[in-house]
Amino acid sequence: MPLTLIVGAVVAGIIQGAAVVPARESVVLRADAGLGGLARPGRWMPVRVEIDNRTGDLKGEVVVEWGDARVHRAIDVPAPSRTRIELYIRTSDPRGSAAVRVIAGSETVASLEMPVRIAGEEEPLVLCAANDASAAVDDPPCTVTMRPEAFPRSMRGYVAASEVRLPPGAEARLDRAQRSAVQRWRAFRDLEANDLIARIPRAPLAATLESGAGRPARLAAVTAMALLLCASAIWMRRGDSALRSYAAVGVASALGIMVAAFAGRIGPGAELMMRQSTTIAQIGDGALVSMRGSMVYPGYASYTTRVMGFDGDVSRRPAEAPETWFDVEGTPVLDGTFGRGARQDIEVDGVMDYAPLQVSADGVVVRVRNQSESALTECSFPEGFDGPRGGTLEPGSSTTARAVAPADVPFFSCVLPAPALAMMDRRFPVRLEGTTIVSIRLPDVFRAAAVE
Amino acid sequence: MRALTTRELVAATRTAAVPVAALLLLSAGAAFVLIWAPRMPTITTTNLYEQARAVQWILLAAVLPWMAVRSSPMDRLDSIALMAAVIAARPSSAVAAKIAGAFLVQLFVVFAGLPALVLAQQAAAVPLSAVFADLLPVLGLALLVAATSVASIVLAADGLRAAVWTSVVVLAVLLSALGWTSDLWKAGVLCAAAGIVATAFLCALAGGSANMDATDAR
Repeated sequence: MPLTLIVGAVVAGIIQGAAVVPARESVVLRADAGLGGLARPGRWMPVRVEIDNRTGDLKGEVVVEWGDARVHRAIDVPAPSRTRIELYIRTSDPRGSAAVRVIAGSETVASLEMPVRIAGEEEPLVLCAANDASAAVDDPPCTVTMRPEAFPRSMRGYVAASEVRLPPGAEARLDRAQRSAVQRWRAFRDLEANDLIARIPRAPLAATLESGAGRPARLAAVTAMALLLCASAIWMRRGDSALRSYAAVGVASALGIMVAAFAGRIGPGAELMMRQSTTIAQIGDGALVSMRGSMVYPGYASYTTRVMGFDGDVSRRPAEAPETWFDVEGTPVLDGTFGRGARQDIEVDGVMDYAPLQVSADGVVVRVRNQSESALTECSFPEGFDGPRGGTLEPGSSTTARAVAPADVPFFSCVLPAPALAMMDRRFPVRLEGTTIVSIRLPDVFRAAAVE
Repeated sequence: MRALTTRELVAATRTAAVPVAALLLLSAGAAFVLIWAPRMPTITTTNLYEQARAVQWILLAAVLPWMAVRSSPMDRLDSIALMAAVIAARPSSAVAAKIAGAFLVQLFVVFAGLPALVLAQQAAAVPLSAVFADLLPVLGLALLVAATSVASIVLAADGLRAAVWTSVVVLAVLLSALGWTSDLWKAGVLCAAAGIVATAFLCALAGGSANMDATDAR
């Protein structure tokens, strides 16, 4: 008997396989927040998390909380291995500490509290690379000193800084993502310092999509009615058996229920509809992206919608508190179960690798080239330039303008015929419609001439 | 007993009451979900499915009494007793069979109106199983209508009067139940209880009448 039990247990174990059970003691969590612990209200704060998983594969999520904001990042860490992730969180209600939790299932397997010092709006935050000889002598002095390897890999990680000092030696120690992030931050800082952020040409707000019954629901109702009418015709036919009459009504009702249940989930109209307005401001080799839109869901289902190739936050509006989700690859995700015709307002803010325009200046003549692979329409130079307004810029082509006066809104802007952001859902195609405006700052040729 | 129930079902196919009631229920329900609800401000905080469910009850309470009387043969108590004698059954069993037949006919009408509820359920993101679970209290209403309609047919002299009586009794019971509880489940249970009482009363009446006839014959 005991032998039978042992053999049974072994066989059951072989059939079932090894369970993925995270061991609390086996997960070591390290994390630090901010630029050397410093952060600003309303600005993204980098949070670097390191998970050392020694025994038992770990599937779950990392949750970072700061003030009323919360960021979720899915993780899949095999054992034994170590993974590092970088998250960004922002809140207008900051606190003196941020919390990191590693959650597997419903269990918190590791957690950590990190101190955060809130820098005032006017307080300089100078980020320097460690071993920087200029750190002690420059004015203002370095507020924070970090190893170049620990510098954030996204431009979002630097937005709290008022200055980033990187001597050539330190810059060489940055990887490609870090270099790109610093370059983008410099362009962003330039816009901010010149009070140009508010003057970026913005896409007009798109009319929100109507929620409620869409075409699939109406089609389903009409189909159910038509089926019942057919059944009624059979019912009313004299001489038919009673069984046939009841069968006709029963079958028509059952088919009507099926059509009503599946309308929007299969067949025509089974797609997520997103109406948006996107503003893209080119900074360095990337772009600041701000999208506002509304999404209508085609059927009652659970949705997992991703914004591809995008480094930023995707959040629902209105929300009680800012909360964002990311998948294992760090792609922003919107998860949820929605009914047919439900509408969700969405905000997207962040950075993406998209730089369709290239600007060069020769004296007072400014040249803009379309270096993307798609045509840009309604391209315009601003007031202060005698260049064309409203033309199309084909891929590889350029347009020039002469600066005649200092421009109040020094941006060259175009309309993108197709949305720059790509959204994908796990089950349904996503159809994006709306306006996307891309702009690039034009050099201040008058100031340059004056300096010369 | 089965023969009498089948007779009731077959008799219903000889009238247009069932398809008309089914079409009315489906079209009004779908119109509420697709046209009325999205355009009109709601007076309750409940979701679209709960609103559509309430509308379905109102429609059923309005349509089922008329449909039950129209689709049922106008049998008086003495003809029911006669039929019972022909098939060697008790008159109370014959009445119960008639009520069962009327109940089954109503189930088809209730079922035909379900696509409108499913449309609301899909919009409100409520599980589909809830639609079928919420059918149970509707069965209570259907039982009440079946018992009341048979009683009205048996006691009233003509169809119009029977339909009016059935409607009045069903509405009175339903409003009393809803006055006592706003939960449709509890209201359905109360309707079912009232339906069972009405059935028992009618069976007793049929049994008593048969005994009197037998005494008279002796």
